[in-house]
Amino acid sequence: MSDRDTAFAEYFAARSDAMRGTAYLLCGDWHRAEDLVQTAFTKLYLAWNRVSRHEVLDAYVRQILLRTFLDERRRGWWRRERVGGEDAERPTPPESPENRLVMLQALGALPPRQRAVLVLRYWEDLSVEETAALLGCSPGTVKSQASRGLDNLRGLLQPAYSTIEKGER
Amino acid sequence: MNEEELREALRHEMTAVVPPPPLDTSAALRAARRVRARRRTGWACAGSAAAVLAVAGFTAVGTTGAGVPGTGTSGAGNLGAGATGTGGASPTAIGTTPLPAPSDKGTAEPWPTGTDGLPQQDRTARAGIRYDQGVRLLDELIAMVPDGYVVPENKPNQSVGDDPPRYNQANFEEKVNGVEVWRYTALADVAKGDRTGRLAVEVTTPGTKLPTEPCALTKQFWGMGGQCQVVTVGDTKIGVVVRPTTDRRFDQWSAYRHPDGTVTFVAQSKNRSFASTKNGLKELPFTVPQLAALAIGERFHLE
Repeated sequence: MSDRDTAFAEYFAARSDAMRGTAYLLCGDWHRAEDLVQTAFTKLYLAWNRVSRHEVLDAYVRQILLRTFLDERRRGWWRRERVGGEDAERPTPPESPENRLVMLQALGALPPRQRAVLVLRYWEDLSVEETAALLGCSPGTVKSQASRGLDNLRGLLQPAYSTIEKGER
Repeated sequence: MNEEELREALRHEMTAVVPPPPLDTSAALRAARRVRARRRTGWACAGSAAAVLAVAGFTAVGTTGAGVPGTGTSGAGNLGAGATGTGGASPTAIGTTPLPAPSDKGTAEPWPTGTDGLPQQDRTARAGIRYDQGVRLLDELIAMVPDGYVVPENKPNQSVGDDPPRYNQANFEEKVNGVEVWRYTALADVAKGDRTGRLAVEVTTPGTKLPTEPCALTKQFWGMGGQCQVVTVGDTKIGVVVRPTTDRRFDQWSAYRHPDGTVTFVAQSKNRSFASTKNGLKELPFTVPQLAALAIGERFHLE
């Protein structure tokens, strides 16, 4: 195995699951999430010589992941496969499946860029500026999209989410 | 649900769900290698084709005086497409250059120094000369709004999260050969009666790696792509996207790279937000030639 392959394999083993988690929140489907991750890492492999700094690898993969997700949304993939759809191979969640379904459905109901902002800001914990750079928009747009996304989620999750939350407490 | 609650909800979501088994590193590597091999084969074929065509063309010119322009262009086009594709590493570089491995040794440069003499907290300048340039850009944008339109004032203490009608920012982009590249953005709503659209100007200082070809440059604006046409202003060719494709944050935008390397984008939209088309302007404030002329003008050529 070449140095390139070894380094790539090490990075893939270390980071692919985390990237798959982000992809899952974006698209709501494990299989599609794995496809997104494979696409992103393949592009990273091709560009390995140019992406020379360790600290930019995550940003690079995340950006490809995001762009692939948004591109596929434009091509209409989302119309065929919906968040929360039946997936025979998906493991059975251990607890409160309705809660996750509600959350995923609510996320899936948001416009893709709004959803991407929420996932990047509150799952990946990226700053406003980092999110803006990834999405190619201004920080102001990220903030307004995050604000609107939260508003929309709030509307979509009530009363289901609040009821579940209250019931748990 | 507030920000913190969403953060917790997402954490809860992902810890409660049982993910599929970890991804197979070997399979991922094999898949990546296959794509690379196909790409290299494509490059080799394109290179061979170009070489054959070049030889054929040379031979033809040398023997009969006839060239092969059609096929020759096609071969060059294929090669170019490969060069600008994703990944984009040259085939000669792959496999011959020492391979950088992920390392803990950071080489990232600190953010630029702020007005307090310390590195900025993030990309955005919130005071000082860079910030002032952003303010100036917004002033210039407002000053060129056509008669009949007004630019609403921001409300007192309005935050950027409210998507204010007037907004400016100055962002550090990168350091190229020791020179800081900055991007200044100004956004302004333009209202006519009860209808509101939006204008934007973005200026990137010299050193940017943005493309030089007019339409390639214009399509880079916020990554929106679009249908571009070249408009001539005086002797200068300006790329103008006259129609967006899928990303409709703006309806039209132009771009110009000044001789010193400064890049200016000017954009207009009938709607103040791509997410809402209610009460948008009936027509755009500027014609396509006007939009092209604005990009080349000195008004938006920040020093």
